Amino acid sequence: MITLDGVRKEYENEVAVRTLSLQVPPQQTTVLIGPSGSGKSTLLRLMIGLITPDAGTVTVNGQPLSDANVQALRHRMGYVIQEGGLFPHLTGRDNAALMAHHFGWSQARIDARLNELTDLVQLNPDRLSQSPSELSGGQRQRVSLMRALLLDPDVLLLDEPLGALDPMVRADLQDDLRTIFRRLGKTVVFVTHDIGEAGFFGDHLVLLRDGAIEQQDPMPALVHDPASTFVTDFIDVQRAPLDHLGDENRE
Amino acid sequence: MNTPSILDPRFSILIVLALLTAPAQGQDKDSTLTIGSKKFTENVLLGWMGTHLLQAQSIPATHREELGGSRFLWEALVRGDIDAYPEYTGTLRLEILADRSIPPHPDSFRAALAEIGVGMTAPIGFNNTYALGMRADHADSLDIETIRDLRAHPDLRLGFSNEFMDRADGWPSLKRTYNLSHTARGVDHDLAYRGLATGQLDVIDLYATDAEIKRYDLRVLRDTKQYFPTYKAVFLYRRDLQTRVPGAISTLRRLEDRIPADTMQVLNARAKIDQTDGSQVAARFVNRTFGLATTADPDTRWERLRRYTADHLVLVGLSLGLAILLGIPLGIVAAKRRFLGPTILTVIGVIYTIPALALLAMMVPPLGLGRVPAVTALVLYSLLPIVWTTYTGLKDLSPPLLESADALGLPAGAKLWRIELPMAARSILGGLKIAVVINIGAATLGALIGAGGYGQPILTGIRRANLGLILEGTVPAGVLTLLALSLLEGLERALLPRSMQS
Repeated sequence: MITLDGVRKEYENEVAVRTLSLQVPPQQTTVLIGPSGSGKSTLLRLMIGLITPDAGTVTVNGQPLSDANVQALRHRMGYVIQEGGLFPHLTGRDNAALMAHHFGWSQARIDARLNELTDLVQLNPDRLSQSPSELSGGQRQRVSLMRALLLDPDVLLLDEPLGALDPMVRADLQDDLRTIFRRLGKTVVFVTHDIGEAGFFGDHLVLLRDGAIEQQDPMPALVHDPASTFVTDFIDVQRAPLDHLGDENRE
Repeated sequence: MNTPSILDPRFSILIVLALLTAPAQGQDKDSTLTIGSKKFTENVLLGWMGTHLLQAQSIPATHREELGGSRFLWEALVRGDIDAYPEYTGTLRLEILADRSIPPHPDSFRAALAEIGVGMTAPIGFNNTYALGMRADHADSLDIETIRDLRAHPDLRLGFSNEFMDRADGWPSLKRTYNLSHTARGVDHDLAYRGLATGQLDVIDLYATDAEIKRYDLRVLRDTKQYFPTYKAVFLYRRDLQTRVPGAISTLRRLEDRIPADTMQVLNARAKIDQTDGSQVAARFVNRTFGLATTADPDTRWERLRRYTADHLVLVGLSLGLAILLGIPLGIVAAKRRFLGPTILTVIGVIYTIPALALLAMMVPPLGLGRVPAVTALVLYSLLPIVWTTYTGLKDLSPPLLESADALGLPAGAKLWRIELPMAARSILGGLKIAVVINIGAATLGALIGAGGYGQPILTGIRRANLGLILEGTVPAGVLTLLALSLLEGLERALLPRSMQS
């Protein structure tokens, strides 16, 4: 579905992605995980052609990405960023239906599609008439997901979509998102630095370090069969606070 | 498509063309003879006399009063923007035809003028030569009677009309002729009298027929070296009038030798000191002298206000409309093109540093008088705030939002129209408000080149030292600014969602 072949990206002498190859398996959720600066967001933006690689090729649906086909391929991909990326001058409805307006859909078709999507993302349809600044963080991400899903794309790319939410809202949305991913059976690429979230969503985890792939495996393999001490450290660091609490309780 | 188009561009271009070619209020170019006049009282009166005489002969004539200085009027005549105007022989010989060194005899100019297609009447009568003057009591106390006597008082403050400061027969060669060591500064001729009265100036230039000589009890300094040439008033006209408007030239020639200097001084006093409407003063004189019965019913204040408002609205509306049609695309190009962008911003910045008055004057040689040059100058002047705010509005948009738009697969044009311009709208509207304020103010200068508007009463008010007339222009201009701004506020509320309003 999405293949990166020998891809490399540098920013002003700083290497963001070292030469790497990666196959994103279709109809599964792949999680790109790693510390800040490990290159996970860069990989995601390479996949949708927001940046072009200095070397190597990105292939989507069997077509190498180029200036000529990038617009059309983007219509087959949905993209959601941390704060939702909703346009402040448009209501929730107009944000979600932006591409439908662009393609000149009839109002009836737009309304029908928005109804399906509000059901899917569990959003009260009344919220759609509000502007982004009037919505809560969770509601904004639900609208953003509607916008990404409007054209029924094959691929969903999500760049830390839950990163800015408070823990309760986040837990709610995690559940809903996983349900949606399972129900739709789309190819999903999900970027996060949270190992718990990665294990929760990911069929397949890709752990990145300094622009290179450290290990790619399902969660249990990362824990029980780590490729390096970095993998173990990365997992343990995020588990430590709770373990420490556990130790106290034991005493 | 739900494209929020306020005006179809094609439609607005048609409106622009129609308005640009439409005559300003009360001027109809083809069938009407147009008389021009310089921006001082005597010349305006002569202009009205010619106009009334022609009208009395049933020749349709309009008067574009107070257009500017000699050069301006001369160029307008040669270009055909006006058909005739009152001029003075000294100016003609030493200023307008200076490079031809013509002997000081009327017949010798006639030949030179004829080559350019310009005709000249015989002198109307009086000799309105330049002179230097000072307050009589002041002159007595310093024992000054002649220009030469100034030499003994190098600390006197000299203020001369701007035209006198640099014309060939003006201050520089007067200074040489009399070997004077003073430095002089340029002031508006009408303000110079007030400077003299309040003691801020000691010596000014005068016209020999100025009404103020008696009023302020001035001493005209004798010109012992006969430096100043004679300035006999004549009418210059386009020779093609002969065939175009039969009878026009012979009508203007009826004024020949009819106005002696003392009569002119009285008429000037009536218009300038008694504040009688210039058109009326001229009509009364023409009626008495030629036994006619022309009436110059002066417009009421409301009629004038209506006319000024109509002209001003056309100037402001057209120039703002064009500045928007031109400025927003330029701002977009500036924001999008890495190399062209800085060039556009710089050029527009440089244009803005040209004073509005100078920009207006620069438009006249290529474009003539009236609406076209005024609107062109105002468009150039209004571009800066619109282009710059469009540029910064687009440049300041949040990068993640722009990436979100790209990621949707929106083509560049749709992205600009649906995402970028609406998000930059607050900034662009801010620029528009600045442009409105600048434009309404600068448009008052349009009267100087015959485009009418609120500048007309301001100009006349300055000439006649009449605060009421000045307010007749400035107050409506202020009111118009307030109205335009509240209109834009309304537009902002209608266009921008609540979340984006201030």
